[in-house]
Amino acid sequence: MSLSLNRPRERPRRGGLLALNDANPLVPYLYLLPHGALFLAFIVFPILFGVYVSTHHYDPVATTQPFVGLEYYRQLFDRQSPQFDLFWLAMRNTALFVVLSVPLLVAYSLALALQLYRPVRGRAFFRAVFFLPGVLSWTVVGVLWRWLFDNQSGLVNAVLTGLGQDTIPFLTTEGLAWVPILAATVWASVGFNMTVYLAALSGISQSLYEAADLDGATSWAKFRYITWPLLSPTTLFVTVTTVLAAFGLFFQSVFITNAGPNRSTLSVIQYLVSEAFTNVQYSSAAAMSFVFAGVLLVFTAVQFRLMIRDIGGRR
Amino acid sequence: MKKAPLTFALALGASFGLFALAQTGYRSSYTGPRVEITFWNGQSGDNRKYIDELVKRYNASHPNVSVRVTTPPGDTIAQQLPALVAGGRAPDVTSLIETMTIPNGLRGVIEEFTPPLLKQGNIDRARFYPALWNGATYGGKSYGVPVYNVAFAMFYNKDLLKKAGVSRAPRTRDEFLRAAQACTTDKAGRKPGQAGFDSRNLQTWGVGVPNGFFGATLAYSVLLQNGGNSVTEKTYDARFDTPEAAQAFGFVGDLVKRYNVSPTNMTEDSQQAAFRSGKQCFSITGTWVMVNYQGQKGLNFGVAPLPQLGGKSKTAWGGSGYLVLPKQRPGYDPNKRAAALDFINWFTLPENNLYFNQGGTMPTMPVVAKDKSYDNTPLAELFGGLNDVQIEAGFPWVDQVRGAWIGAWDNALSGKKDIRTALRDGETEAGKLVNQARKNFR
Repeated sequence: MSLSLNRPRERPRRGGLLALNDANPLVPYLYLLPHGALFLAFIVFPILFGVYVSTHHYDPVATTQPFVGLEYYRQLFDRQSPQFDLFWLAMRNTALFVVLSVPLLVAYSLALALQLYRPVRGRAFFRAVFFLPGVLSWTVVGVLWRWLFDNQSGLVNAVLTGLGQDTIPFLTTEGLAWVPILAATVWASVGFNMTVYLAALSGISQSLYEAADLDGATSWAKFRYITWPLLSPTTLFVTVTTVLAAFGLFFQSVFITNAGPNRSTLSVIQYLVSEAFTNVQYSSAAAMSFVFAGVLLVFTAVQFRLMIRDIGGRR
Repeated sequence: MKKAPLTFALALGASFGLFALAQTGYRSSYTGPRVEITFWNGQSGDNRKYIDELVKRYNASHPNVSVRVTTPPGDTIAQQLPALVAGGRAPDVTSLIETMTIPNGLRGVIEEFTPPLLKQGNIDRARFYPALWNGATYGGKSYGVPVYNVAFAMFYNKDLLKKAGVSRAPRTRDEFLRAAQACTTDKAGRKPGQAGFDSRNLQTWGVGVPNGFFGATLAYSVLLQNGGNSVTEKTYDARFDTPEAAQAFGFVGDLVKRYNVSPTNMTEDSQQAAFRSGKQCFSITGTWVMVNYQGQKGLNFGVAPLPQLGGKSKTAWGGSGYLVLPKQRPGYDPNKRAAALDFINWFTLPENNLYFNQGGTMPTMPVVAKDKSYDNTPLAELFGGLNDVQIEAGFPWVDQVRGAWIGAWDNALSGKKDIRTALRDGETEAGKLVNQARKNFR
């Protein structure tokens, strides 16, 4: 027998179910088992249980859990119910926060990454500085920014007064109350996105920029035709995760404005929590969370479609 | 809830007081075999150390009972308790705040303290302030034993009042308005009512009227003083649209808009900061806020009961905490229940309430309020008014009504709605929530 390089590779022998080696057909499933078990326990089961809760009049200590069908979903679309007013108000507030915060967070983190990617002095120090607020708990971040923006005694208004300006009542004015919430959110979470962009930037080959330099490209042109297109998968990731995180708005508006003024910063999650644990309406809260999750799914799907087309079209 | 550690004088006094009060004739009602019981304490603030110490003392003096105390954050107890009860893993004793006690009683999460149970634990309800006991009683059934008491009160800056020529803390509406106006000066030194007075640039002022819970609760106190309430008697339906409520909203709002004794757009943070920095004569807020005022350099303050700002009484809003018995599975060890009852009785005895109050809470019973050890503490000035404190509880949908009331207050204070509209809309919202809540407590 001569050795032949184009001999077909031998397929691994299929062993029996009791074989104690890689030939055992159960091996791949054993590798999948730990994650699969956790996934079932903490994702699939809660979702199914949530469906059960939202379609029954559920109370864990009650002896019976009567089936009510889609009653709690219907309630969300019934103008007479208190849930209709508050849920959609919270939905609008949260959507507004997403619209305001996501472009800020994506653009600002990209700008920071572009600056800190260049070999500037103290680069590591600044990277750490921008990343560090992200390790603080939201409680701390919230209280800090609430104090900074306090109507009378906050640092922002102290500076304004020092400059001879009138104070601005950020915390009690509808609309303006978003300013400290946005500031806190950007300050605390821009570092993570920045780090993701930095990692992506280091993956772009320098030879592309050298070739562009030879062609006499301006720095804007290099960004426009090399950096931005090659970063688009990263931008997709950053945008989707940021949108999802922004929809999860909770701590900032709890600790900075406590949903005020006049509930103009009430978030969906805060309303869900109060509906479940203050009003003791678990089923209603579960139904809301499914409607909310549906909205998030639609958003994410649309983003993927737009971005994938964008990424695909450039290759 | 945050609580203030009291002064050294009280700590010292409490140890004497302990001695003075130890004559209450307590005898352990539990004589069975050795058991271990679990106690979930919802007080994670400054008075946690006093609770831990009391548990230690109980264990030391009761060889046949061992209490294991854990302190999860207060909110999570109320959130987790139903599920723990359903799963048969509830603690033997826990504490709940006033708004959570009756709802959990009606849902079957916690036990009713029936007369036989009270008798078994030697718990004498007559020793507590009736308003406190009634805060956990609904439909004739009591679900909690009072463990602490907090209220709205008036902190006042002694130096600032002296400078304004006010000799004592005001007790009536007229006295209060006069004192607050005497405290208020704009940056050019003009007084409210003088020509050219600039209400937007105040140097010092009388009081801070904030939005949110604190402003709404001041207005609620004035409503009580007018002889009104935010719910009807007997059926506890939301009822905001009343002359008493309109007057309360109007008066408290006028402190800002008409009398100019409070700056506009105050928050609770800013009124506390202004009081701390000596710009504001009065701070009407919860007694638990005292922790933020004690030890402030250059702040020489006193505490007085809420003045009578309304037309009929001196009532002030109050809140409270209760020790409760979570429901247990059939087959639950009766010795554990007996030991839990004895622990609840012991923990709420006068001498132990006196010790516990070093965390900044107030006496739950008259005999403690009379104790000599309080003579040198700022809080003692309040005790004469403890009978006037009305716990905002005693029905199952306090939180729902309170949330709508705060919403109405914010709308009225900010001028987004006129007072009548704000109250009417708030009543409508609360009414819908109460109707839903009724179905949950059948």
